[in-house]
Amino acid sequence: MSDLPIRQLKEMSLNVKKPHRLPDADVVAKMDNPLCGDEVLIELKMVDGKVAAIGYNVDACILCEAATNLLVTSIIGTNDNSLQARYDHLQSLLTGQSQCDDQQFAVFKGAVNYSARHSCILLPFQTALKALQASK
Amino acid sequence: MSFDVTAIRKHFPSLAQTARNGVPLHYLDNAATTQLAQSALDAYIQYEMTARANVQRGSHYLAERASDAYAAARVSVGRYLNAESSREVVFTSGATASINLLAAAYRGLLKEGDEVLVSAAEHHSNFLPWQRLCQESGAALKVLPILPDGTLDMAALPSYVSDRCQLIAITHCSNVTGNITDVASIVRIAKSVGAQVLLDGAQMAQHGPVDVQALGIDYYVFSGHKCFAPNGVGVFWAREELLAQLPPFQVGGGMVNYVDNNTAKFASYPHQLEAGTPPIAQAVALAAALEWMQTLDWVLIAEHEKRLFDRAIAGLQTITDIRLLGRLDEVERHSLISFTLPSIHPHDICHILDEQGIALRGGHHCAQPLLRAMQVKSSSRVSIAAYNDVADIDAFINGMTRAVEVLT
Repeated sequence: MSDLPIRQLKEMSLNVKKPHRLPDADVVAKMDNPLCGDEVLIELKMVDGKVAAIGYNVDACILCEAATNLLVTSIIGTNDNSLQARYDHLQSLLTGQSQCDDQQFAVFKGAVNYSARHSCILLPFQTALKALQASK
Repeated sequence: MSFDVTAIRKHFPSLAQTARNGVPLHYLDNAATTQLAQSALDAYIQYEMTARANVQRGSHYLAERASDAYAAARVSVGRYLNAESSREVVFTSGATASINLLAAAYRGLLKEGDEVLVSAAEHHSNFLPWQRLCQESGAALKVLPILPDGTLDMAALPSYVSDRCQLIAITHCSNVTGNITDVASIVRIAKSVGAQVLLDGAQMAQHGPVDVQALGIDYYVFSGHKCFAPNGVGVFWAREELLAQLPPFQVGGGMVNYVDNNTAKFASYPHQLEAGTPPIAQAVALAAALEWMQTLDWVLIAEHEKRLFDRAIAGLQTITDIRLLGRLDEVERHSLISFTLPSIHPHDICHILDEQGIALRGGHHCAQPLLRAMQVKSSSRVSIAAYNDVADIDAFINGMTRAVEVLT
């Protein structure tokens, strides 16, 4: 048995294997994780300060890809403040500072004891936040 | 006489611990850091408990004991390297610091038009100091390419070494492929144009004593933490006539004989290259590790490591579509294997193995130019040391089977 729901994470990662690009994106951000080579590209279409559409191209481990899947399925309608709040919540969950009250994040609950992998999970959110900040 | 790995393992108490989830530890990340030898730990504690003081400064009892222990450590390291004199040994914080020390010394020597040769197989530690130095000095950085199998393109070497070449800085053993460099050819061509040779021995020193005189090189570096000694200590070795010409890397206490408002007269080598309080306990422990290593039969250990390497290779080759990086035939090599699998990220493999107590490294191994040349972004790496046994390799192969099963 794994500490993480590997099968579930793998299924989530498969959802973002194929790039989904936004030709008319308003903002683009790209970040990588030098430790393991994860690369995440996020494109956002903004309407009234909120995310209206998202594009992505991710080449990473399954944790990073699963987190990307979680991001792209939940980001529509958020702004930088609400995404920052979700990011902070995810980070505090990973560091064991708060309980998980977001069912979507429960999949990463077992990662608490794997600090070296936290940056993989956080990378897509950091990239989206970077893009949102660039949209201001 | 057969090799008794059980006796070796007893010298490494940390190997007996359990890993995550309470499973037995199988430590196979020795190219990054080896476990600490009991003799090194004992020497460290003994020094801290009976001789802790600063060196080359005080005259009290503990200061003398500290200075004596530190001087003895220098002798031990010199013996391990077969240096002509222990004065040729400089203690640093690690191989990276040692290479930066030499790069700093070269700062005043290199000029526009000069050349420094490195290879595409270098660890960043032996790449970036020379890249930066060449950018600052106007010298050209030449990079000897690798062949598709990951070995250095030695046939191309003559076209990369001109009479403007001042230094060839090259790995003794690759931390990604395990291939050992043909040092004799490097030295021969360097001498033909009057260039000096630095060997990065970070991956070599854990596999037995080194003979710097027989190698015919000018500089050698390695780290304590990769040869059964503590973190925070490394070695810079240079031939004495070259060491005498190197300017101080850093200035401060312990490396100067006279100071006034405008001038300073520095101490002689090796002290002038060890500004500040050196890593005394670490150096003493490193010496203890090296002394212990010199009691071992390295021919038997090499055979033992080769058997484990062959067992690991045989197991890996049963995995569909696996790509083993580097040359695996009779080329001179040490026992580390880097590999990739299509559609499985190296960190995911390492994660599944880690859950089973198997410590592997995943990533670019601080060798991005090499991985790029082999057209991979990252890989998993298993690296074998003298204390590894068949159980480690079998656990690794079983772990790989499980990793492939759950990740595909």
